[in-house]
Amino acid sequence: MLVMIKSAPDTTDGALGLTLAKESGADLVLLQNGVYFAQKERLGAFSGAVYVLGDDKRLRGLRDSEMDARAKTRDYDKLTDIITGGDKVTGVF
Amino acid sequence: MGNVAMILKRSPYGDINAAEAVRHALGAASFEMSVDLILMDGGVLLAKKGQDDAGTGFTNLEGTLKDCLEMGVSVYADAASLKAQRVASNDLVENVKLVNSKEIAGLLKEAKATMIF
Amino acid sequence: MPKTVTLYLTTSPYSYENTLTSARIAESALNKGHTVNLIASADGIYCFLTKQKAKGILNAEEEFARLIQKGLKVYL
Repeated sequence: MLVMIKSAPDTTDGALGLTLAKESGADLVLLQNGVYFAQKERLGAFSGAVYVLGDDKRLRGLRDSEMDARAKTRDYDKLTDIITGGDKVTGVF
Repeated sequence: MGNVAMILKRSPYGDINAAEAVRHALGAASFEMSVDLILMDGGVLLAKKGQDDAGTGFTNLEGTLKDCLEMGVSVYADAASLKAQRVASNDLVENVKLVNSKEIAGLLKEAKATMIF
Repeated sequence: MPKTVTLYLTTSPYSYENTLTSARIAESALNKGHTVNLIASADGIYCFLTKQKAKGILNAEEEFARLIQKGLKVYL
Protein backbone atom coordinates (compact mmCIF):
# COMPACT_ATOMS: atom_id res chain seq x y z
CA MET A 1 0.00 0.00 0.00
CA LEU A 2 1.07 3.53 -0.73
CA VAL A 3 -0.01 6.51 1.36
CA MET A 4 0.32 9.97 -0.19
CA ILE A 5 0.56 13.07 2.02
CA LYS A 6 0.27 16.63 0.74
CA SER A 7 -0.51 18.34 4.06
CA ALA A 8 2.09 19.83 6.40
CA PRO A 9 3.26 18.05 9.58
CA ASP A 10 1.40 20.56 11.78
CA THR A 11 -1.98 19.65 10.28
CA THR A 12 -4.48 17.00 11.33
CA ASP A 13 -4.56 15.53 7.83
CA GLY A 14 -0.79 15.25 7.63
CA ALA A 15 -0.53 13.56 11.01
CA LEU A 16 -3.36 11.19 10.13
CA GLY A 17 -1.64 10.20 6.90
CA LEU A 18 1.60 9.40 8.67
CA THR A 19 -0.17 7.41 11.40
CA LEU A 20 -2.06 5.41 8.79
CA ALA A 21 1.12 4.70 6.86
CA LYS A 22 2.91 3.58 10.03
CA GLU A 23 0.10 1.36 11.26
CA SER A 24 -0.53 -0.28 7.90
CA GLY A 25 3.10 -0.85 6.99
CA ALA A 26 2.66 1.26 3.87
CA ASP A 27 5.21 3.18 1.84
CA LEU A 28 4.95 6.95 1.83
CA VAL A 29 4.88 9.57 -0.92
CA LEU A 30 5.38 13.15 0.26
CA LEU A 31 4.35 16.05 -1.96
CA GLN A 32 3.24 19.70 -1.66
CA ASN A 33 3.51 20.72 2.03
CA GLY A 34 3.88 17.05 2.93
CA VAL A 35 7.56 17.29 1.92
CA TYR A 36 8.30 18.84 5.32
CA PHE A 37 7.69 15.40 6.85
CA ALA A 38 11.00 14.38 5.25
CA GLN A 39 12.96 16.79 7.42
CA LYS A 40 15.16 15.06 9.97
CA GLU A 41 13.44 13.55 13.03
CA ARG A 42 9.87 14.08 11.80
CA LEU A 43 9.14 10.55 10.60
CA GLY A 44 10.06 8.74 13.79
CA ALA A 45 10.01 4.94 13.70
CA PHE A 46 8.74 4.56 10.17
CA SER A 47 9.80 1.35 8.47
CA GLY A 48 8.46 1.75 4.92
CA ALA A 49 10.00 3.43 1.92
CA VAL A 50 9.74 7.23 1.80
CA TYR A 51 9.60 9.10 -1.48
CA VAL A 52 9.71 12.90 -1.78
CA LEU A 53 8.65 14.84 -4.85
CA GLY A 54 11.76 16.73 -5.98
CA ASP A 55 9.94 19.71 -7.54
CA ASP A 56 7.98 20.40 -4.35
CA LYS A 57 11.09 20.02 -2.19
CA ARG A 58 13.10 22.48 -4.30
CA LEU A 59 10.22 24.94 -4.47
CA ARG A 60 10.28 25.20 -0.69
CA GLY A 61 14.05 25.60 -0.44
CA LEU A 62 14.60 22.29 1.37
CA ARG A 63 18.17 21.03 1.04
CA ASP A 64 19.32 17.40 1.08
CA SER A 65 21.31 18.11 4.26
CA GLU A 66 18.02 18.85 6.07
CA MET A 67 16.35 15.65 4.98
CA ASP A 68 15.89 12.29 6.69
CA ALA A 69 18.39 9.83 5.24
CA ARG A 70 15.54 7.44 4.41
CA ALA A 71 13.82 9.93 2.11
CA LYS A 72 14.42 9.32 -1.59
CA THR A 73 13.82 12.22 -3.97
CA ARG A 74 11.81 11.34 -7.07
CA ASP A 75 10.47 13.27 -10.07
CA TYR A 76 6.92 13.03 -11.45
CA ASP A 77 7.87 10.23 -13.86
CA LYS A 78 9.29 8.03 -11.10
CA LEU A 79 6.37 8.95 -8.87
CA THR A 80 3.97 7.76 -11.55
CA ASP A 81 5.85 4.45 -11.74
CA ILE A 82 5.52 4.09 -7.97
CA ILE A 83 1.79 4.89 -8.07
CA THR A 84 1.02 2.55 -10.96
CA GLY A 85 3.38 -0.16 -9.69
CA GLY A 86 1.59 -0.70 -6.39
CA ASP A 87 -1.64 -2.50 -5.59
CA LYS A 88 -3.34 0.34 -3.73
CA VAL A 89 -2.93 4.07 -3.26
CA THR A 90 -4.50 5.80 -0.26
CA GLY A 91 -4.82 9.55 0.07
CA VAL A 92 -4.07 12.18 -0.72
CA PHE A 93 -3.97 13.39 2.90
CA MET B 1 -2.36 56.94 7.59
CA GLY B 2 -1.81 54.24 10.20
CA ASN B 3 0.12 51.10 9.54
CA VAL B 4 -1.30 47.74 8.51
CA ALA B 5 -0.26 44.47 10.11
CA MET B 6 -0.52 41.37 7.95
CA ILE B 7 -0.19 38.01 9.63
CA LEU B 8 0.71 34.98 7.54
CA LYS B 9 0.08 31.67 9.29
CA ARG B 10 0.12 29.29 6.32
CA SER B 11 3.17 27.78 4.67
CA PRO B 12 3.90 28.85 1.07
CA TYR B 13 2.76 27.13 -2.14
CA GLY B 14 0.31 24.56 -0.74
CA ASP B 15 -2.40 27.17 -0.90
CA ILE B 16 -2.80 30.77 -2.02
CA ASN B 17 -2.48 32.49 1.36
CA ALA B 18 1.26 33.23 1.26
CA ALA B 19 1.01 34.57 -2.29
CA GLU B 20 -1.95 36.73 -1.28
CA ALA B 21 -0.14 38.08 1.79
CA VAL B 22 2.89 39.26 -0.17
CA ARG B 23 0.68 40.56 -2.99
CA HIS B 24 -1.36 42.70 -0.62
CA ALA B 25 1.76 43.79 1.27
CA LEU B 26 3.33 44.95 -1.99
CA GLY B 27 0.11 46.67 -3.00
CA ALA B 28 -0.16 48.53 0.29
CA ALA B 29 3.53 49.49 0.17
CA SER B 30 3.10 50.85 -3.35
CA PHE B 31 0.49 53.25 -1.92
CA GLU B 32 3.11 54.29 0.64
CA MET B 33 1.30 52.62 3.50
CA SER B 34 3.39 51.32 6.37
CA VAL B 35 3.16 47.52 6.41
CA ASP B 36 4.29 45.01 9.02
CA LEU B 37 4.26 41.48 7.61
CA ILE B 38 4.35 39.05 10.53
CA LEU B 39 5.19 35.42 9.81
CA MET B 40 3.86 32.87 12.29
CA ASP B 41 3.34 29.10 12.39
CA GLY B 42 3.94 27.65 8.89
CA GLY B 43 4.11 31.19 7.56
CA VAL B 44 7.75 31.49 8.67
CA LEU B 45 8.64 29.05 5.88
CA LEU B 46 7.99 31.89 3.43
CA ALA B 47 11.26 33.45 4.56
CA LYS B 48 13.37 30.35 4.05
CA LYS B 49 16.26 30.88 1.65
CA GLY B 50 16.84 28.86 -1.50
CA GLN B 51 13.32 28.46 -2.94
CA ASP B 52 13.64 27.22 -6.52
CA ASP B 53 10.55 27.49 -8.74
CA ALA B 54 12.22 26.24 -11.93
CA GLY B 55 9.80 24.24 -14.04
CA THR B 56 6.91 24.47 -11.59
CA GLY B 57 4.92 27.38 -13.04
CA PHE B 58 4.78 29.11 -9.67
CA THR B 59 5.92 32.61 -8.82
CA ASN B 60 8.94 32.38 -6.53
CA LEU B 61 7.64 33.74 -3.24
CA GLU B 62 11.10 34.19 -1.75
CA GLY B 63 11.71 36.67 -4.57
CA THR B 64 8.41 38.41 -3.90
CA LEU B 65 9.23 38.63 -0.18
CA LYS B 66 12.52 40.32 -1.09
CA ASP B 67 10.54 42.74 -3.28
CA CYS B 68 8.41 43.54 -0.22
CA LEU B 69 11.51 44.27 1.85
CA GLU B 70 12.89 46.52 -0.89
CA MET B 71 9.58 48.38 -1.02
CA GLY B 72 9.88 49.11 2.70
CA VAL B 73 7.67 46.39 4.18
CA SER B 74 8.89 45.36 7.63
CA VAL B 75 8.99 41.57 7.83
CA TYR B 76 8.99 39.77 11.16
CA ALA B 77 9.33 36.06 11.93
CA ASP B 78 8.08 34.53 15.17
CA ALA B 79 11.06 32.89 16.85
CA ALA B 80 8.98 30.11 18.43
CA SER B 81 7.44 29.24 15.06
CA LEU B 82 10.89 29.11 13.46
CA LYS B 83 11.94 26.56 16.07
CA ALA B 84 8.79 24.50 15.55
CA GLN B 85 9.24 24.60 11.77
CA ARG B 86 12.97 23.78 12.05
CA VAL B 87 14.18 26.87 10.30
CA ALA B 88 17.49 28.26 11.60
CA SER B 89 17.78 32.04 11.86
CA ASN B 90 20.75 32.00 9.47
CA ASP B 91 18.55 30.25 6.91
CA LEU B 92 16.26 33.27 6.63
CA VAL B 93 16.12 35.91 3.91
CA GLU B 94 18.21 38.93 4.96
CA ASN B 95 16.52 41.75 6.90
CA VAL B 96 13.74 39.56 8.30
CA LYS B 97 13.55 40.41 11.99
CA LEU B 98 13.10 37.79 14.71
CA VAL B 99 10.42 38.62 17.28
CA ASN B 100 8.81 36.97 20.28
CA SER B 101 5.10 36.82 21.10
CA LYS B 102 5.24 39.93 23.28
CA GLU B 103 6.79 41.93 20.45
CA ILE B 104 4.17 40.61 18.02
CA ALA B 105 1.46 41.69 20.44
CA GLY B 106 3.02 45.14 20.45
CA LEU B 107 3.02 45.32 16.65
CA LEU B 108 -0.65 44.35 16.51
CA LYS B 109 -1.56 46.83 19.22
CA GLU B 110 0.03 49.62 17.21
CA ALA B 111 -1.55 48.60 13.89
CA LYS B 112 -4.50 50.54 12.52
CA ALA B 113 -5.76 47.40 10.78
CA THR B 114 -4.88 43.73 10.74
CA MET B 115 -5.22 41.20 7.93
CA ILE B 116 -4.78 37.48 8.55
CA PHE B 117 -3.75 35.02 5.84
CA MET C 1 1.67 -2.79 -18.55
CA PRO C 2 -0.70 0.14 -19.06
CA LYS C 3 -3.00 0.85 -16.14
CA THR C 4 -5.80 3.27 -15.41
CA VAL C 5 -5.04 6.20 -13.15
CA THR C 6 -8.03 8.13 -11.83
CA LEU C 7 -7.52 11.52 -10.22
CA TYR C 8 -10.19 13.26 -8.16
CA LEU C 9 -9.93 17.04 -8.10
CA THR C 10 -12.23 19.00 -5.80
CA THR C 11 -10.46 22.31 -5.27
CA SER C 12 -10.65 25.58 -7.17
CA PRO C 13 -7.86 26.23 -9.70
CA TYR C 14 -5.80 28.93 -8.00
CA SER C 15 -6.29 28.57 -4.26
CA TYR C 16 -4.36 25.32 -3.83
CA GLU C 17 -1.40 23.46 -5.28
CA ASN C 18 -3.66 20.54 -6.26
CA THR C 19 -4.21 21.84 -9.80
CA LEU C 20 -0.51 21.68 -10.57
CA THR C 21 -0.01 18.31 -8.87
CA SER C 22 -2.96 16.77 -10.74
CA ALA C 23 -1.80 18.13 -14.10
CA ARG C 24 1.76 16.94 -13.65
CA ILE C 25 0.79 13.44 -12.52
CA ALA C 26 -1.75 13.20 -15.35
CA GLU C 27 0.81 14.25 -17.94
CA SER C 28 3.45 11.87 -16.66
CA ALA C 29 0.98 8.95 -16.67
CA LEU C 30 -0.25 9.84 -20.16
CA ASN C 31 3.34 9.97 -21.42
CA LYS C 32 3.84 6.45 -20.09
CA GLY C 33 0.81 5.14 -21.97
CA HIS C 34 -1.57 4.82 -19.05
CA THR C 35 -5.24 5.70 -19.28
CA VAL C 36 -5.87 8.78 -17.16
CA ASN C 37 -9.27 9.87 -15.88
CA LEU C 38 -9.81 13.10 -14.01
CA ILE C 39 -13.03 13.48 -12.09
CA ALA C 40 -13.70 17.13 -11.23
CA SER C 41 -16.19 17.66 -8.44
CA ALA C 42 -17.23 20.54 -6.18
CA ASP C 43 -14.93 23.55 -6.81
CA GLY C 44 -12.75 21.38 -9.06
CA ILE C 45 -15.13 22.09 -11.91
CA TYR C 46 -13.90 25.70 -12.01
CA CYS C 47 -10.63 24.38 -13.45
CA PHE C 48 -12.52 23.77 -16.70
CA LEU C 49 -14.15 27.15 -17.23
CA THR C 50 -13.09 29.02 -20.35
CA LYS C 51 -11.55 32.51 -20.58
CA GLN C 52 -9.31 32.12 -17.54
CA LYS C 53 -6.68 34.84 -17.31
CA ALA C 54 -4.27 33.43 -14.70
CA LYS C 55 -0.63 34.58 -14.80
CA GLY C 56 2.27 33.74 -12.50
CA ILE C 57 0.67 30.39 -11.76
CA LEU C 58 -0.33 27.46 -13.93
CA ASN C 59 -3.33 28.44 -16.10
CA ALA C 60 -5.75 25.58 -15.43
CA GLU C 61 -7.78 26.06 -18.60
CA GLU C 62 -4.74 26.02 -20.88
CA GLU C 63 -3.04 23.18 -19.05
CA PHE C 64 -6.02 20.84 -18.96
CA ALA C 65 -6.96 21.68 -22.56
CA ARG C 66 -3.45 20.61 -23.56
CA LEU C 67 -3.73 17.38 -21.55
CA ILE C 68 -7.16 16.59 -23.01
CA GLN C 69 -5.50 16.77 -26.43
CA LYS C 70 -2.97 14.21 -25.14
CA GLY C 71 -5.74 11.85 -24.06
CA LEU C 72 -6.83 12.94 -20.61
CA LYS C 73 -10.45 12.00 -19.98
CA VAL C 74 -12.28 14.54 -17.85
CA TYR C 75 -15.59 13.95 -16.10
CA LEU C 76 -17.46 16.79 -14.40
